[in-house]
Amino acid sequence: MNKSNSGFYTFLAILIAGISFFYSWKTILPKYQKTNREILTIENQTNAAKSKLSSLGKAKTDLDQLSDIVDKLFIAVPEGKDTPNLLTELEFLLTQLKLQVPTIQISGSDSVASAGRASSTSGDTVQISFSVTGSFEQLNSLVLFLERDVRFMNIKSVSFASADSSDLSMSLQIEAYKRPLAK
Amino acid sequence: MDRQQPPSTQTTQAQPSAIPQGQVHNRAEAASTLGFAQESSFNFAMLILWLVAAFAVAATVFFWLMQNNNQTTLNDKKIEQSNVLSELARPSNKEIEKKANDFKSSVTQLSSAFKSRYSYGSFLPELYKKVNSDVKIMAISIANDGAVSLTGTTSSYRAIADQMLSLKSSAYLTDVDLASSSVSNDKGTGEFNFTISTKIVKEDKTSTSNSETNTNTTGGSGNGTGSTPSPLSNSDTNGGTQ
Repeated sequence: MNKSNSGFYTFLAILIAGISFFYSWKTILPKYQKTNREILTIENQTNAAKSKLSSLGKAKTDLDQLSDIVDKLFIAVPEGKDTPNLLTELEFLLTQLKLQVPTIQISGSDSVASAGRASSTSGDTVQISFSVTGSFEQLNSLVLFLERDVRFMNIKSVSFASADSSDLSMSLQIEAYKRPLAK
Repeated sequence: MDRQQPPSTQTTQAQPSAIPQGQVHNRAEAASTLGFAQESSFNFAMLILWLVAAFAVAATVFFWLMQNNNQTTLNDKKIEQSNVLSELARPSNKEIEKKANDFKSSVTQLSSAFKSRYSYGSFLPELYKKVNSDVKIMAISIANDGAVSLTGTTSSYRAIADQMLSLKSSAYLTDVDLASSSVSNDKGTGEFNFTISTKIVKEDKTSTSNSETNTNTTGGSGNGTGSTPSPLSNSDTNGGTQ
């Protein structure tokens, strides 16, 4: 009787120990590790989000302080091609200098902003080309105006040729800049 | 009858009597001790086994509690993350983010554009001054990389050489070279056509040259200030061949 009881208890103890070990090893510990990994991931993500939130707060303060410069910068590099304003701007300059431009060609497609993109690419420019005839002073003034215009323009190439009388014909290829359109 | 004992019984009775009484007692004691020791060792093993089982159960419970605690922490962290993300997703924050990205994008674009920029507004009058009076420039082209090509006519190879030297004296220009030259006698005028290639020096290198005066080392005459006629019609105004 005693011996059979002892055998039973031994078996029971081994069974309990085995089940406990197996349950811990196969169920609880993997779940524990998985939860720990998830906590770590979420902590990292939360910290990144908090850091971004904090940098946004700082950015807001900085942008508010530099609001004048920011506004000018956004005019210098507008969102998209902004062809109407570009044409108006060019016409204003040409009218001031009493120059006439028979044709103006503006090319460049409006790209849509993609996440994390903040670099200059050829897709972020507008190509403008036109020819104009006038005196050297007029043409040089036009070049100066273009270089100092509030909308930033980079003259890529210039060519002069003698026109009728004492006037010159100037062909300009200009690059204006734009920001990608918001989604 | 009672006194008759079977021989075997006698022998049996006689045998114990042959062993000393003390030894009999010791053997019984030894047997008893052995039994107790076996039982005691068995109980000890059982105890250890049960202790191990209890430890295993306790460890399982401990891990389970830890896991539960972790799960609670995870839920709290998820709520915290959700709050921060919803704060980030607010329209005002989105607007600031867009504005900041636009600002960064614009600054990057402009800084890159400035690096590749030539200041034609200050270069053109300088070029204008460097065209000699006996030279008529027919065309000037300035490419994206600052390469300048001047095509013109003059009266002699010497005048072409003078023109090259005049251009070389400019701090705005470098690599002045004669790309081509030829004599044209189509109209019986003996015009010398030429193309000079040169390159614009970047503005930071020419900042000190603004005070430089118009010098013509080989006798070619500069055109003076920017208000003088165009270099392309120099010969018209200075008694050129056309």
